[in-house]
Amino acid sequence: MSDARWYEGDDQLLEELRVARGEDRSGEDQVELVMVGYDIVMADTVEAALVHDSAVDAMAGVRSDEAGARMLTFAAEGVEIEFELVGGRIVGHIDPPGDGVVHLEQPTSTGPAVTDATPDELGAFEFALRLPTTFRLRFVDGAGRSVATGWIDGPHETSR
Amino acid sequence: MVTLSGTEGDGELYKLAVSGDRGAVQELVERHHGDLLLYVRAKTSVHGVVEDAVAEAWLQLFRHLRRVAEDPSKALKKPESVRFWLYRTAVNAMNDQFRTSSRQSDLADRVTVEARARGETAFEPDELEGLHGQERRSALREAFGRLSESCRELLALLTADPPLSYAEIAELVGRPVGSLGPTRQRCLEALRRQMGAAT
Repeated sequence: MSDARWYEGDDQLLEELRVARGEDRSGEDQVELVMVGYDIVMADTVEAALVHDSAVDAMAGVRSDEAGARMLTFAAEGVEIEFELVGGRIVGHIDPPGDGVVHLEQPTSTGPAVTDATPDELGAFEFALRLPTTFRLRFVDGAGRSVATGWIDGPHETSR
Repeated sequence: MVTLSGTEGDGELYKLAVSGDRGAVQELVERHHGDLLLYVRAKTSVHGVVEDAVAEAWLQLFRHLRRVAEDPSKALKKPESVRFWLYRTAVNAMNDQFRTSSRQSDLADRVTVEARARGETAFEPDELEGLHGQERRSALREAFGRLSESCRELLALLTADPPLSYAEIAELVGRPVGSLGPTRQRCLEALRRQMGAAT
């Protein structure tokens, strides 16, 4: 295209505008973020309901059995995920026991960080929680059914 | 997962995405995310609305893919029009945001555009001819920002890469196909005026 009168022809002007606007294109760095949305939607995860949280009971004045530990129980149809946060660890069990994997999921700026643990024959599992961040547990049973706890803030133990 | 060659059409990518191919979904995101942002940005400059509307469009596509995986009868009748579907969904998401966050957003948009228009100096015809490369394109982008919303929308759709079809554009802008040619001409004329070429 000649520089002289480049703006006179509609097609030339439109092509120049296309190139100009293309230079303003952004979002390449957002692709991973968009794909996190895909992973979440596709996980086909049932959200288990919180049925017990010792931290909430403590606020309500109910005494905890074990001082210093926070105990939580989540339940979905046919399965319960029960665990306690103690000394930077998550110690829990799946009820009823069965084949499957427990994922510890922690959001990070580059996407969810996932650590796996395989429950033993009694359904017991354990994680060392290294980062004091939000996390959730997701149990995928042998049939591929996925049940997740809600997001839980921090590994901080409830101290009273 | 299928190894993509990068030459697949949107229709092929959509079908692979329906079958659960994450790579095909990512290719669609890489291909269209930038143009989707540009398109919604042509319609509004309200901070935060553009990114939220585009993010919502993607989430709706992902939910749609999940539904189709369970019930194939819900698939798009024209798989190759997945981009059109995304554009329309993003605009609906943008309108939903305005509906729920009051008319002030619309007003804020107009104020921004108006303030920008007042602050810029148009080029004289001689200056325009002498503009080169980067400078010229920068002037074009500024002039584009001063156009009416309907012109910005139409030109955004015509300058998407590749451009949408006239039938798709007509549906998005809510005008008959036959009116697009004359409107295109009128908007380009307005663009020239904003550049100072017609003054």
